Amino acid sequence: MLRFVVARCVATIPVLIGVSLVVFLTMKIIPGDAAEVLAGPQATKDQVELIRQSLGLDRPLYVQYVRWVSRAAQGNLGRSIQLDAPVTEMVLDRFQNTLVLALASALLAVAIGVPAGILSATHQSSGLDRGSVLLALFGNSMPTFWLGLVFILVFSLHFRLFPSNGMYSLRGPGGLPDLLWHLTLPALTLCGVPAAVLARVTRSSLLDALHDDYVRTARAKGLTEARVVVRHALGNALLPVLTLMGIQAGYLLGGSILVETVFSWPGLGLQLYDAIGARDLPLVQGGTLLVAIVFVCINLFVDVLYAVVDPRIRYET
Amino acid sequence: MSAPKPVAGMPAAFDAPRLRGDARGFGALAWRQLRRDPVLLAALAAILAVIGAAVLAPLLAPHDPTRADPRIRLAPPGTVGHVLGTDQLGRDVLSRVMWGGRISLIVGIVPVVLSAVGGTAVGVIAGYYGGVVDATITRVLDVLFAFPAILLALAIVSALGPSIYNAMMAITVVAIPSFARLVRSSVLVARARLFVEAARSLGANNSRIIVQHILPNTVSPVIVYGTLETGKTIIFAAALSFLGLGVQPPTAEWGAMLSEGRTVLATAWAVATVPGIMIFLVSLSFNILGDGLRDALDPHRAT
Repeated sequence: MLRFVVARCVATIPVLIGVSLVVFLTMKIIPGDAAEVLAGPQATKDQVELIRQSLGLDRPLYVQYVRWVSRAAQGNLGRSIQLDAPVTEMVLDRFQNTLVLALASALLAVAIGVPAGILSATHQSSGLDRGSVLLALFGNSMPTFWLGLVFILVFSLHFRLFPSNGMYSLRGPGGLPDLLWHLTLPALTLCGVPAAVLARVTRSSLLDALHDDYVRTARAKGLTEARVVVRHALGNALLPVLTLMGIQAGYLLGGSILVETVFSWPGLGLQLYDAIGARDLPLVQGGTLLVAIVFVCINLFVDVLYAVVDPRIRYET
Repeated sequence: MSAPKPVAGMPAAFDAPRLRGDARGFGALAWRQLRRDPVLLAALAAILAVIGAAVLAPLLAPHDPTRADPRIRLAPPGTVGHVLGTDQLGRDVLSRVMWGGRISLIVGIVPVVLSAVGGTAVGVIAGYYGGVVDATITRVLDVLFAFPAILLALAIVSALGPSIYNAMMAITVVAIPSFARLVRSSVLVARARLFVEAARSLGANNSRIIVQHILPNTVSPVIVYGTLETGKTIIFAAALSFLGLGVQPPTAEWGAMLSEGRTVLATAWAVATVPGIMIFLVSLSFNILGDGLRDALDPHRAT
């Protein structure tokens, strides 16, 4: 088991190097460079050149990369152009809020998607099944940002049940109840697609499992259907669902940009959106790198978890 | 996806003609499924209708989509002359939706076609040549998979500058890895078959084997995945415009319209809702079509 974990961790290193290269190079394809942005439109050529030298932008590309990546590895992502504050602190500060939103959505997605998939599979071809399949199809085709607007329109503007923006009330109680109250609409919006995907995969995976021989054996023993499903089929059926959670984590992190923009949720997504608007490249770079690294780590974690629950994986490598 | 499975009890070489005919058989299978399933037909009809309305927008649209008229700002749906109402600048929503469809459909479909072609090329090279080539390509794909799609697209567009072409390029780059991975796995299956060995022993060179024997096997999974991907990309493209990184005002595009409509959500719900419904309907139709095609080609998966 330990060998498997170590091997997976080592395999992640080249991916992380690649990720840092992509982020670095993306910011290098910009017409002009950070020095020009920093110097402003009125700067003379000499001033720009001076800033360029002070930032090390006159050095060869690989020197710049090595410098940038070794600083990043020590937690230094440079300074935001717009606010002249350390990027690392800024993105980590906002990332907590994104994490709250993403975790709440993940919980909701599992709480809605998995039971829906199970009910669908155990009542195959019934009205319940059709309804759930239809709902999953709708969830998959729904533009997140539009769903958010519809939620605001209905629950916030019309019924005045939930707030339409922010994380806490400006004046008011604050604390957990206030947070949950503000969290409801954004989390519901963000969980739509993952819930739909989870429902679909749970359904088809459980249907497969229910046709397996060991399930027939369990039934032949005279077990009740509920026991057959819960004790025998479900365990195996949920394995593919687990892998999916890793992929969906990426969706939650990426989709949070849209949802945070719609609901003015003060997370990393909204920060990135603002940073792109202000062409604050160090901030865009830092935020992108952070999200990508977190995503890689989540997938590593899911892989290891998978090996824990399914011993076959461990022996294959 | 549906890699052709060997038929039980039949030597692999025998079904080579069947596999070769895969590309042609695709049309027949898809048509049979389509005739049987009214929902599928409705989805196809919806897509064709939206494409038709977008193509014919210059003829059909009742008003100029960018002409503002301050006298009739925020007219509700059902107003005479403005069936779907007007936006905050007094522009006709119906006309904007029709004209906007042209751009939304192009930005949603063209990158899928480009990435399907690009991804197929990369996947075939990786799967067919194997070895160091495959290992290198797989590593690069792994890196691209390490980014949430929308984030990578955002980073690319923000670096290149917001425009519709840069948005399309970003979407293409982001979509290539999944196509490449899909094609690579079908190629690996096809490459191991007896008919490839037979072709090689008859003296066929690599390019002939790839074009004649390998590529046909990748066609149907790519078409199925591409259809489903189009459903996603329509949303994805609109999302980029919604964030202000795609189409620039005053051009009509569904995502941009949604973004503009946001500001008047409280007073005129229709301005943001109508383009949202269009995105949803088109995406839904492509998803239904993709699911239907998959079931037609791989009956084992249909449930």
